[in-house]
Amino acid sequence: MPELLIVDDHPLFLEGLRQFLATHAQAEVRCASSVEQALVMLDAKLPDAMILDVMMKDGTGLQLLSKIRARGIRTPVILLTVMIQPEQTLEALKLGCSGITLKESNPQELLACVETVLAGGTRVDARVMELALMHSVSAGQPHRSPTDILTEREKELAGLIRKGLRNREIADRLGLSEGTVKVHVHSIFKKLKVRSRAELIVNTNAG
Amino acid sequence: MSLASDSRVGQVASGAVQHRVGHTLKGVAVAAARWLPGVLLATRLLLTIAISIVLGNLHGTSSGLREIVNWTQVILVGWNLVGLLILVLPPRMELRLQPLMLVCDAMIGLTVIALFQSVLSLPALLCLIPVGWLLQQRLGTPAAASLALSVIVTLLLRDRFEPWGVILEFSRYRGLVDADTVVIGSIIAVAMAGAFFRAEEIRAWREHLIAIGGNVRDLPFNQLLEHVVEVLPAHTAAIMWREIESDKDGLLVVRRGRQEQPHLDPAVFQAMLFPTWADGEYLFSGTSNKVLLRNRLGALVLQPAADVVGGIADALELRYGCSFPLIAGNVRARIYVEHGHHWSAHVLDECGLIAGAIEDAMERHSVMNAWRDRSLVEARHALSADLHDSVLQTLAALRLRFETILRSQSDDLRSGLRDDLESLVTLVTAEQTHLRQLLDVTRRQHGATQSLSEALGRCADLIIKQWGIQCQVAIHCPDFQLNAATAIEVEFLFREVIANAVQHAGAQNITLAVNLQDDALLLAFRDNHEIGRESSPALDNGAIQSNSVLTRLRKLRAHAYADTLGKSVLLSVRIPLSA
Repeated sequence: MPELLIVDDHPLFLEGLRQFLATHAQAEVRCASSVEQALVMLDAKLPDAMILDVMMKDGTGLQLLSKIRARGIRTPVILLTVMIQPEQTLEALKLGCSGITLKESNPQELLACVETVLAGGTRVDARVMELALMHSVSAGQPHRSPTDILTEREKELAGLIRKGLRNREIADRLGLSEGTVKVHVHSIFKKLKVRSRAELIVNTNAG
Repeated sequence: MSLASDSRVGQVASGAVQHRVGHTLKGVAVAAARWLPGVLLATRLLLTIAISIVLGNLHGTSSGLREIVNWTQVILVGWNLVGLLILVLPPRMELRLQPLMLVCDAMIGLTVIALFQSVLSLPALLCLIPVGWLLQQRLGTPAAASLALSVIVTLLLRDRFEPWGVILEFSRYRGLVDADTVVIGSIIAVAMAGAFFRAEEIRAWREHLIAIGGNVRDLPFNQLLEHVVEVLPAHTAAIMWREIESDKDGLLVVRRGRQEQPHLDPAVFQAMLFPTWADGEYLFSGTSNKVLLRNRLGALVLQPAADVVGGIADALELRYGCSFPLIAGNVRARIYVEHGHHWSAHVLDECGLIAGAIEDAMERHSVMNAWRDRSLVEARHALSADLHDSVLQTLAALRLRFETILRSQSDDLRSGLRDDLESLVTLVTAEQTHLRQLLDVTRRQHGATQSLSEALGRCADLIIKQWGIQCQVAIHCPDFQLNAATAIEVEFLFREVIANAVQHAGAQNITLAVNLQDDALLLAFRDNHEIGRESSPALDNGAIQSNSVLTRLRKLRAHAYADTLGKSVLLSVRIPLSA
């Protein structure tokens, strides 16, 4: 009978999953409700596979995975989560995660994943993999700042607006007339789709 | 205790004295700055007297020189008279002649410095200070800088001339020169100190206004006007504004603390808010029907504007004063203040400073509001993510528990109970899928599409289970793929209409027909209940009354109307699909 260790801080889900796996997977199931407790239990005995939640109160499943890999523990790991960011998926795969399943998936999907992983294979939810692929494709493209669409002169003006300078001050500093500055500012607003200097400061600073 | 108390009293008294002295100096200096032409007249007269005294001593030295001295004195008297005359000319003439007079003043002052060396250099220099000040106001900084450069060059070259002054006994006039110097120097010092205090006052006012702008959720225009009449001492001020996006106009007048909102003819409003001849600040006067402003080169221009000045007098009951524009966010505004200006360039420039300070305050207010809104949105998203996470966890746990019960106790479960549990599993699964779709922002951001018939079919199944009613969906465009973001909104609308129909009208049988027509999605909801029962707020005859349904319709930019159709109520919705 395979031995599984589930680590999840949601008590209702933890108990539901324990009962489900004990009934359906015919497995011996141990439970930990925190990263710390899981590490203590791993010191006592290594399971055949581990099922980790990604977000927990005292740390993430990825941190736990990283720690057990650092200790040289090669036990297969399945991440079972409500939501996982694409970059977390890529990080998990780099750390040798064998399976990723979403909590709202059909429970039979979880059973299939556990069986595959126990047999030495890998199984990642198709939607999770799709998002990770989309992310890796877009991550390959150079990062575009919102102000990239501006001309060099407009970028210079936008920088001065972000510093809080008025049109008159900008005109003095750049040796332009106030009218020319107004035309540039209007063009910047139009290109960046903002309605005011305030919006420009808030949006482009955050971007 | 007593000493401490005395010390505090002393500090308070000292502060009060400082405040009083500062206030007095400021008043004198502001008056000096405003009456700069008068100061120039005084220094010009002083220089004339000094030259006359010096030339009087040369009068008897030779017969040839006597004639020159006489003519020089005539010219000097004429120079002073013209200077005096210019001050009483109408503003239009004054604005044209004053620059010429200033150039003459500069030439005479420079000539005196070059020819008379130390004896008359001091009064000439003192005369040139208000000249330079006025040149800066009237012809801009380059003109004042040119004068300063000329003075330096003259001082450097003056030894190349045979100084007339060397033949005079300087000590005889030392007392007079000293007294003149003290008087004129004091006037200039007070004027400069006053200008400094006034600049400090405006700076403090600006800081105060910006602090208010950053700390209040709304910056009411009446409060803004109260601050304006505080810095530009006035009884009446008005603000007119337009919100660019909504084209919403407004006018507010504060007259001796009372607020008024007079109605203006749209054409007059437009002319006063956006005068075609000025995009900056200007002074106006109803007695001459003229306005004073700076042109693009910064030079002062006095021009007739009878219609606008008349409009200001009729609409706002302001006979004279100043006006300046405000641009902040999507608001374009103009403030009018009743203020005695005597066509002073100084007042005009002060208006520019005040307008800049108000714009800064309004911008700060906009920035702080934008940050607040952004923070609230982010907090709401974080809260919503937490909530969704918790709900999804709970749903997943319920589903696992149900599955476990169904399997582990399959033999013990009665058939009805098993059906109920299986139905609950289906319901939980459907809710999980729906919630996942809502949370899947990435797919929507990448412009993913989804089958409308699949989405509405799934939604109808869920509704049937949730409400226990009959719901049929007839889709006449089964292959239609809809933008994922729009599909979710359509699904929300579907749910909202059904919830209204069931909760408020007890609907038991609803049909939804879907079709495509002219780049629009047409939805027809039919509530097959008997007429005579309480009607549904969503499917009421005529206008849609449910706020929740109306909110959904607005998000989809949809149009809808309800109507009775035989024994049923029909709600027709048209959703445009083009951007």
